[in-house]
Amino acid sequence: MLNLILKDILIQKKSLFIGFVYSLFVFLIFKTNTFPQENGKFIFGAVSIAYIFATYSIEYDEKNNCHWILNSLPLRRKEIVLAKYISLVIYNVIGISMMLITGRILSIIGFNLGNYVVDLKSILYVFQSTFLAFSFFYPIYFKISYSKTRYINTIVYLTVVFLPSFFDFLFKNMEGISNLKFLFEMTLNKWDITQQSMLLAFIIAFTVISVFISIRNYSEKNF
Amino acid sequence: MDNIMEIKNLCKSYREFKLKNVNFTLEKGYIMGFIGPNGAGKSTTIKLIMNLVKKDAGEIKIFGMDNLKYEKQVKEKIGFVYDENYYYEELTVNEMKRIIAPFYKNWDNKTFERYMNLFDLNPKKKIKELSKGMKMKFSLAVALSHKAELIIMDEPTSGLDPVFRSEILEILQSVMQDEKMGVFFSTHITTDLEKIADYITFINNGEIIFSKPKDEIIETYAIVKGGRELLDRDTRKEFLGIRENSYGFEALTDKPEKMKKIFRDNILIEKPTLEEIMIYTVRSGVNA
Amino acid sequence: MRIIISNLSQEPIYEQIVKQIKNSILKGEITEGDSLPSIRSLAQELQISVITTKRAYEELEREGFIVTVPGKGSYVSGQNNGLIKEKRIKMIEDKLSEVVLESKVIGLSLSELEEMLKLIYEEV
Repeated sequence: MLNLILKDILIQKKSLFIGFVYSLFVFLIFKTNTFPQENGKFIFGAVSIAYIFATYSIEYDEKNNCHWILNSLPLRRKEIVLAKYISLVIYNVIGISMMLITGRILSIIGFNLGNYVVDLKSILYVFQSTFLAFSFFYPIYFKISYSKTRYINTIVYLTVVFLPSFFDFLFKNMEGISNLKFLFEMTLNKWDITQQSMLLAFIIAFTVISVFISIRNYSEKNF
Repeated sequence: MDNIMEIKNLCKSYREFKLKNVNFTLEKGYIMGFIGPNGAGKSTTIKLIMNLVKKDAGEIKIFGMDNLKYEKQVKEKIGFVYDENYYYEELTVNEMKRIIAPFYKNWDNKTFERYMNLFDLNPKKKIKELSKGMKMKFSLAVALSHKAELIIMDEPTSGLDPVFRSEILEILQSVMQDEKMGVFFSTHITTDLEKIADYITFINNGEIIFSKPKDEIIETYAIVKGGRELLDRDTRKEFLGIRENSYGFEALTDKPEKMKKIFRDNILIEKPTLEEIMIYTVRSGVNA
Repeated sequence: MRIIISNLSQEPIYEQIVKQIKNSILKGEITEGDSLPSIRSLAQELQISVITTKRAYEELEREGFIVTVPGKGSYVSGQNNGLIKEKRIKMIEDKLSEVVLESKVIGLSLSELEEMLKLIYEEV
């Protein structure tokens, strides 16, 4: 299994470069208030980089028809599925690290990146977003071929990334729902331990269920 | 345990194609050629053996073990070569090897290096830069470097030139000096098998026509040639497939002795090639 | 030892091998106790199926020309020279009786036949 995860990293040395360019792009192009979350740029950048890695790994497999090879090696299909979920953790770490490093470099050079502190909440937010997205997407991907599901992948990603902005826009432009707005801002930006734990528990449960469905789907797949 | 591969009543249905009750066994120490026209079910059978597709019914045993229940153990000992490249094109030969090798418990790097030299493969070249033949050799080097006891090849020689093909066949034969090994080799280029195969399994339209020692097949069947006047309703029935022209006919039979009795000196009886056996059989199926 | 396989011959390949090994033994190119190549290496050298060489060896063994020691290999067997000679004499006898029969049909006498045999024997 470790080999599979290593393979996913090895085949996308290129993505490291793309990720880096992307992190620069996020810091320099977007305004601080583009996203409703505090640290919005950081979160958006890290999630996007993780998404790029996860998607590329799928695309490389698909482009080279590697399911044939992988499933001919002494491996169980279960392992191939699990490896994809575990790799996602690593992609998150890569995304977060890249944003941290690029942010630091830019600050040192003298760019004003505004007032941002990367805290546990932001990091959790990144993990929660990607796992939410891919726990939704992987079971579909492991069932149907990628060429048919790539749009779903993109839609899921855009939803996860821009839904908060959408709500934010909605609340700003509509009177009379200030109670809801308050709730929304609290979810996004306040640190409430109960709320956070519940959200985390939900996403973990969602992921676990997703893993089982993916394993079942992939085990029954014909190549 | 002398059978390295046993397939019993294997079935698989697709919308437009059906694999019907496939049965055959491969003993260790031998090369089995798996022949049949395109779309006959060769690849499907191989995919079923490798568990790339799910069977509907039947049993596949490799080294006496169920191929699904003991999937990992079984695949440790299988070396596979497919007709197309399914490796990561962007990687170099060496990088790809570094990815593949750790999956096998018995990976032997010395053997791999030896084949790399023998095949003149440059480890620094990207896989996409290799010719079709070189990609094939790379696959073969991987397949032979983890002490596999069963080599499964799906159309390995299709699209390769004759020099390359004969080189591959020589390597296979030298590998066969180790009596523990077995080779299962699908192809529609039957001349490759004419020489080295010990057994031939012939599949047509999802059904096994025969699975026998090659010598026995060549001796069972015969090509009959003669004048058209010899053909009538009754004699036609005796042939498995007939090709006629203005001057005479050629036909395949599996009863050469009987033919001699019926036609005596009026016909010519010749040893068939595998290709002729395949062509006539497939054609008779179309006519019927 | 020389073995040449013809793919065009109607004669099965295993028979071609049997014949040529027999000849080598009869001519004394290989003698009692000499080892023969293994079934697998002969198959590789000649680029033919293992089953074919195996069948050839089995045939030779059955006829008493070679012995196979499991796990060790095949050897030219001991008593075969006497055995072969005996067989060949029997074969000549058979052919001669055929000749005699044929002669009787056209009424050739024994002395005429003897004369003929003498002539041919010296010529060949």
